[in-house]
Amino acid sequence: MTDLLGVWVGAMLTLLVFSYLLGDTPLFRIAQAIFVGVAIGYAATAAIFLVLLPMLFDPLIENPINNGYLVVPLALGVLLLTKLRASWAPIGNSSIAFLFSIGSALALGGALDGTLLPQLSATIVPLDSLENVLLVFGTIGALLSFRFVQPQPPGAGTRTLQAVGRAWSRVGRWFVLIAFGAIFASTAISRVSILVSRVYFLAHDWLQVVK
Amino acid sequence: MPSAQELESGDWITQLRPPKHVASEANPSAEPPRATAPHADAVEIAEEDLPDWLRTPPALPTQEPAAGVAGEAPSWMADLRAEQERVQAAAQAVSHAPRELPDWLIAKHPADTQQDTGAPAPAERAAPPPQEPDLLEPVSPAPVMQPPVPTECYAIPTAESATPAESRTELPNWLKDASAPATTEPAAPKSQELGWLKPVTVAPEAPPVPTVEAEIPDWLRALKPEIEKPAAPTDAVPASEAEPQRGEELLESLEVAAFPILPRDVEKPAWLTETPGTEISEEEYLPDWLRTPIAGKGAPAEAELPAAGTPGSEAGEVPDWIAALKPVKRPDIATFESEPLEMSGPLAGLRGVLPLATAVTEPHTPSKPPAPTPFKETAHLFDSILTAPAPAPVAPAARTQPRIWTMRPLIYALMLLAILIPFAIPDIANPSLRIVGTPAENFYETIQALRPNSLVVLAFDYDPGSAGEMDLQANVLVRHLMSKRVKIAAVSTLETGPQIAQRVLENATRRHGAGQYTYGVNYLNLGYLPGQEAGLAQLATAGFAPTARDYEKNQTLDKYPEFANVRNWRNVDLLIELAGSAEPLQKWMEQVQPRAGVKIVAGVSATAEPRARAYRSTRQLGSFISGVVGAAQYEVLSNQRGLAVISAGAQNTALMVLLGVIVVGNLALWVSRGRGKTK
Repeated sequence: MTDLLGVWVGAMLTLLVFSYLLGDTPLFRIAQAIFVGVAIGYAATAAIFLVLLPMLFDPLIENPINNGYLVVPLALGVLLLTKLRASWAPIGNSSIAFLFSIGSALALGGALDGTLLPQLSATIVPLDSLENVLLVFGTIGALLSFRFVQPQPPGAGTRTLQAVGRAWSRVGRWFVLIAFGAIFASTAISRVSILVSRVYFLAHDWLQVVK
Repeated sequence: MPSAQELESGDWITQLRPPKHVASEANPSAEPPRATAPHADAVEIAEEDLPDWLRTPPALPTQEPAAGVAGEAPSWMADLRAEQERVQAAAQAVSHAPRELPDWLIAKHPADTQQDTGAPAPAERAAPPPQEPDLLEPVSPAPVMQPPVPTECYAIPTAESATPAESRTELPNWLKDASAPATTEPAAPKSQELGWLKPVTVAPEAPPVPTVEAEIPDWLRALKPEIEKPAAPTDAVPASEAEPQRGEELLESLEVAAFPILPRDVEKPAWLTETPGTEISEEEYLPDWLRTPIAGKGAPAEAELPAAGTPGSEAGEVPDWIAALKPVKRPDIATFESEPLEMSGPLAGLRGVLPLATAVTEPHTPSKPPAPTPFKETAHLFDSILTAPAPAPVAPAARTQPRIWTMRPLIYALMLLAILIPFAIPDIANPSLRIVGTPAENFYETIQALRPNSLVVLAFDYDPGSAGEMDLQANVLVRHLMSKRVKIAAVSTLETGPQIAQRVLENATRRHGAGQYTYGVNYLNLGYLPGQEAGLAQLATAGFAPTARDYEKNQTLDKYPEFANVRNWRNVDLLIELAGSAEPLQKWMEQVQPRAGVKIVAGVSATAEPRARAYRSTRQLGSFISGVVGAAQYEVLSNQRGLAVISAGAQNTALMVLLGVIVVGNLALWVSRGRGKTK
């Protein structure tokens, strides 16, 4: 019974969202409001029952001596509540500063160690295959396409170098466009997959017209 | 010869009285009667005509008033008084005045003296003709005879006791300058002419001074015209004309120098303001020699003002020359109050000193002339337009694009059929998936290489929005992992992740691992991992905390001994990241992979495939499967053909429809443009 009710609720909400194909209808707005409300409610419930209670209050209540260090995040969290009132908002700046500083430091360090340096090292490959040549050529060209500097006065050697740079940057721009096209195509394929999933749900779980 | 004591006590004045009054009872020890003055004989002075101070000269308080004066007058004035007394005593010692008249009387009436004595006194002959100090000539244009006042009342040096130069040393510098031309010729000492000095020395305890004109004896009054003649402001003296002009200039300089906004009391000396009975009026501030130029500015004329030192003047009034120091009230002071007040800088506290500020604050006159008539007409037109009633709303024109409305349902219908047909007829839309050499093959081999009871951390980092795509991967992966009998520890960095993980694990357990997989033994849902990058970094550094609680039973990790080794990443054989977008995958690759060094494979949505390929190229990511196609590949590899393969077929069909629509649409547009150009 519960599964049947869930299927019907899901089916109705799916149809409400599909009503957007006919335009910005009130039905779609109802589904949108329900989705936003449910998402926020679920996030709040999850924050309370998955974070605050099991990770903060329960340890403090059960063993406050050994878990006394949890007072610090509790105080920072309480200070965040002062952001609800404009006159008290500056009090919560310390918590915001703590969050932003820690998050920024970790993100920057992680980007360097986890993405930038490994990607840079991945471009240092022997040019013994067409794939590697295209990799190096396309990477340099893509970087040259983001070169926004004023051309230097023409000289003996700079004229040729500038011409090569301009040509290379144009080719690199095509690499960038192809990458953007691939990302867009992947996104479109992903959305079509979701559409297939919803249609299968309506046809299989709700209407049961397909196996 | 009168002594100094007599001078102080006013005995010399008794000589002016008839002999019968000299030997009065009040002064029995007085000297024998002396010769009466000739003019006294000529004028019959009655007893009742004499002022009080002349009637009882011995009874005049001599010492006490002097003490009182000395006590209230400045010290310099007391010194000067002593000097005057000494000089007067010396002068009278050498004087041969026949009737002991004061020098100033003798000097004023040499004819009378000669008439009586037949020859002037040697001292009078030798002395220069009596005249006022030069500096006072323009100041006191109309001197009148002063009644004899006890000398102790004169607290400042007279011309007799000090030379003009010495007198100037006691005067202010500005007064010295003003009187500089007059000092060229030494003036005879004439203390009686210094009427402007008299009010300074008057003290409350001083003997009463006859100030009423009626109290002046007739014989003294008769002398008045004769005395006034030489002292009257004469035009013959050039300096008398120059001095008023100089005084006017000096007055103007004082007016300019004085702060107009300051109260006048500030300028008054303390000793002057504290002296009782010195009520000073506005007109009495200025000395006589300064009043003359002011008269031309609208001030009371000199003739209308009571002359300083005249009998009509009151005792204790402020000398005019001191009153002249008081800043003159400017008539337009009220205008300064409306001007800006300087609040900072050296001009702080002053008002209206900067004309520019006043000019700025004043309303500016319009630089443009008033609007001509055409502007007003246009203004009326604009006003009529605004006030006119709004026209009735016109219904929007009906869309003239019926072809779009007809095409949209057609496209929707084509898409629906393209999706439903593969589900209805799976054999028709069976995709020909390429398996060999794909990342899915490497992914499968990695899972296949796991030993039983290996620990696998499965991260469900996707939300319900991408569950239609990611659930296919999760289902096939969990089935494969359960077939391999590995331990599954689920975790998520999203709030909705634990619920999805629990649903996927329960479904897989119910359908494929029933009776073989038990919660807490074979699989565990560790729930939500908060903190984003910070949480992942802590997880990579310290592993799962023993106080971490699971999602299903909300118990600490130490309650599950089968998963005790999950605290250390060394015990984790594989990390499978199921990312619905690129961001969770990037966080795991940046925070966990470099720190934990654990092997990571990923199942990502088609959206995150480009990012996953980048990490795979750097060998940070072992392998991955992407989207529905990756799930289908994995089903084929794991020999579990099912929904993912059918969904991949439906997706391919839908994509073919979309491709056909795009091609047909562009062809139609191209054809329509060609027709338009031909027309």
